[in-house]
Amino acid sequence: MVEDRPPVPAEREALDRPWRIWASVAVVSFVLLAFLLGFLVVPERGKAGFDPFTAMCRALGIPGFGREPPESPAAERAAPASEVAWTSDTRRLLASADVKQGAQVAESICLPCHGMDGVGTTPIYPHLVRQSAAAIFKQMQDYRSGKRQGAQAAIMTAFAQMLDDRQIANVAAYYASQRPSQRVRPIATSPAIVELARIGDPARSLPPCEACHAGSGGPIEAPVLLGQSVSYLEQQLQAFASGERRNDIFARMRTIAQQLTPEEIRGLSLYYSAGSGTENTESDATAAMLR
Amino acid sequence: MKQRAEPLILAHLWVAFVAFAIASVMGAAQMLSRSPLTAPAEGPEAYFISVTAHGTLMAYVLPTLFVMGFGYFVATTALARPLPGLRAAWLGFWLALVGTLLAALAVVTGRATVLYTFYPPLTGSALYYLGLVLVVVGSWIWIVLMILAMREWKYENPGRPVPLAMFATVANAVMWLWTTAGVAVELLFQVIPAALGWKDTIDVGLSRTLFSWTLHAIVYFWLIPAYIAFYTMLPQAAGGRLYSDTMGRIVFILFLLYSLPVGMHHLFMDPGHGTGFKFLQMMLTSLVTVPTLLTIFTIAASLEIAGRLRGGKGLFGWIAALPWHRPMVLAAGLSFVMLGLGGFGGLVNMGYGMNAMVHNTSWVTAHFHLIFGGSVVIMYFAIAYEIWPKLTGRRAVGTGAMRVQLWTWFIGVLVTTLPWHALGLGGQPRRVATFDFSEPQIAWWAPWILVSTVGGALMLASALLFIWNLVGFHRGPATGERHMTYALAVHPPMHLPRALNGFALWNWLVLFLMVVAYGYPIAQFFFVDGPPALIQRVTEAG
Repeated sequence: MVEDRPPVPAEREALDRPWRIWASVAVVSFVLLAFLLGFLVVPERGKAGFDPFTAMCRALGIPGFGREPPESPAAERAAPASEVAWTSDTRRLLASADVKQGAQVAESICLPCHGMDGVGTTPIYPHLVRQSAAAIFKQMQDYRSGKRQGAQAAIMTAFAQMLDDRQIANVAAYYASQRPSQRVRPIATSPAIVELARIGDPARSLPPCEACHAGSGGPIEAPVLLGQSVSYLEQQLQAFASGERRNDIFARMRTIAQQLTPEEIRGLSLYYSAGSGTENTESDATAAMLR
Repeated sequence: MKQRAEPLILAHLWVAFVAFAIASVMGAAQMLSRSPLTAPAEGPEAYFISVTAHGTLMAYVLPTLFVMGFGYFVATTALARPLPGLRAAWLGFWLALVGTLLAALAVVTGRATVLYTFYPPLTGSALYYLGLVLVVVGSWIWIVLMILAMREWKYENPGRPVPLAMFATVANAVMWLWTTAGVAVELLFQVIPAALGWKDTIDVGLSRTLFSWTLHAIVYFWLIPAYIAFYTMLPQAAGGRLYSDTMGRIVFILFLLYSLPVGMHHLFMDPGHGTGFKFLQMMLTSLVTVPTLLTIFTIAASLEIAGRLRGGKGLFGWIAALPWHRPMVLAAGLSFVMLGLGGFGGLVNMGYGMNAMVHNTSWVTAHFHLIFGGSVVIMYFAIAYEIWPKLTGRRAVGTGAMRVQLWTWFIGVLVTTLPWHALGLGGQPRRVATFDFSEPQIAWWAPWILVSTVGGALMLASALLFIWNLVGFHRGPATGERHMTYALAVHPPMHLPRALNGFALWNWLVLFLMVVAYGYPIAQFFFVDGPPALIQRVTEAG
């Protein structure tokens, strides 16, 4: 197409040239001014003490540039709370889990305490029904690696060590596939407890339980609280509060549980234990008592 | 105008406005859902289906189809020659229509409740993204045809200035090509493979950066038809002349230059970029105010000429003397008011520091409803009222219903968006389906939201009246008058430097600006290691 154009006369060229030059000069100088301000003047002012090169690298966003290396002893002391990471490998393992094989594991190992339907046979054994595969998988892995301590953890560690990753994924998928026999609703013993569960307490930096434990929207491994056994919930909150249980990433649950009063622990456990029927005879009795 | 292009133009504009009408109903329902009143389908599932559909129709279907149809109109009328490649244009239309229907299918079946912004790791059905890619591909055909039309005209008319309306349309087409590059790369290489399940992880920082490339320039793509009307239709409708043709060309060139290297102001709160590039793009964003301020000056001057020609006297007498009964003049006046208010809000969003205050609040939603829904869409109405008689060869029975429609839209937009801005400053988050107004901390929002909801209902009424008015044209008395004239400049240009008659120089400068503004921010994702994000698929979660 270029060769189709008629030749440009000299007077046209004289008309065009200043536009070319001045437009380019204007654009380039504005960019240079912005660079000067954004990469040198403003960063140096904000962070006194950086030489121009460091200031520029930091403004570029090169991770960690100019930052002091962390104190080594603290770094060595900090062991992770859990070894489970939600990488694509872990997710693929869970996605490819075999529910039938999981059922066999459940029948041979889990059945006496957790039932085939995921309903705990004794109040201190948690119900597995309503939990996601990721939630069960995370806890089983933590039992096996010894990261989860406190309460009945020793029993579970022994069982978990009998299983490999795939078997754990299978059995987690099996219990996640169980459908609860009934709908449960929270038991509101007092407005303060309902508020704690639904709104939290900003004055104590307590987020609402619902933010993570409502079944969706929270971290993938957060268990569903509604419908869990009351004694189990209370026991675990106490274990978090005392620091006996510490497989919560970023110490999230320890931080929260330490701030709760024993009455609040009791009230929240009851709030979530909920409903009536075979799963909750115990909480019904407790609720009646509290009322 | 050549007869053959009219069905093509009407098809584009009707699809755009039918999409607009459907999305208006959804918008009003969403206002209801967020209010203390009961909505027909309350709850997050219904809400996010509705918001995604509303955003997709209003942000992708309405403006794209409108700009395409209007571009074909300008190319045939301003250049007074047949459109090159009418068949290709129809192909573009069908691609866009089929794409719209595919995307709509994915949304209404609840498989793409991801909102219209492509922010992974949440991904919807691949059908949704493929549908939108088809819409974009349809618009790429339009770009080629616009450039071809101008090129052929220049070849036939060597040395003559391209008519301003066409120059501006091609500026928009060229800008749209640059604009869509970012989102096209994001969709084709990141989001669609993720949606199809070919990948487990996605680099969220990169995809957000690519989306920001498109996200701001796209709003100027929506806006430019309004500015074309200001420069080439409004002075004529007001009975005067355009004050400066050169100023018009410079304004559209500035939009081309500074719409693109500024998108990172949508990422001020993102941790993936250093402060330096955010600052640079903030500085460049500030330049976007220049074409708008130039326009306010030039258009006010043009209107003053018209007002004085009509006998207006004194410092402000010319304003009263303007023919406000004409829809184009009235719409432009109302549009300027909304542009002024929204422009100041935009300065807040643009400020690196102030943005933190309004980030992710209703303020942002209110801002783009005021600017786009208000000042731009009201000009779409005015353009439709102006060109429909030329397209149908019929005239409307009267302009009274049009004036009522424009006024109700204006009042509706202000009543909706002003309380909405205030709520944003009060901390109301955007993208939330319902609120618990029994919570004392947010109880004070309720009355403001109710006011806003009333505004939404007014907007809906106005939208439906607009459709009614368009239908009225098709039933009006035939005039056979199809000739379109554009505003003349006070001094019509005789010879122009190539810089004001084409885009070669400006494309080089856009390239320079994009390399400077986005080169390192995009390149860093390929050499700075970051943990990849796991893809979350809406289709699985459902």
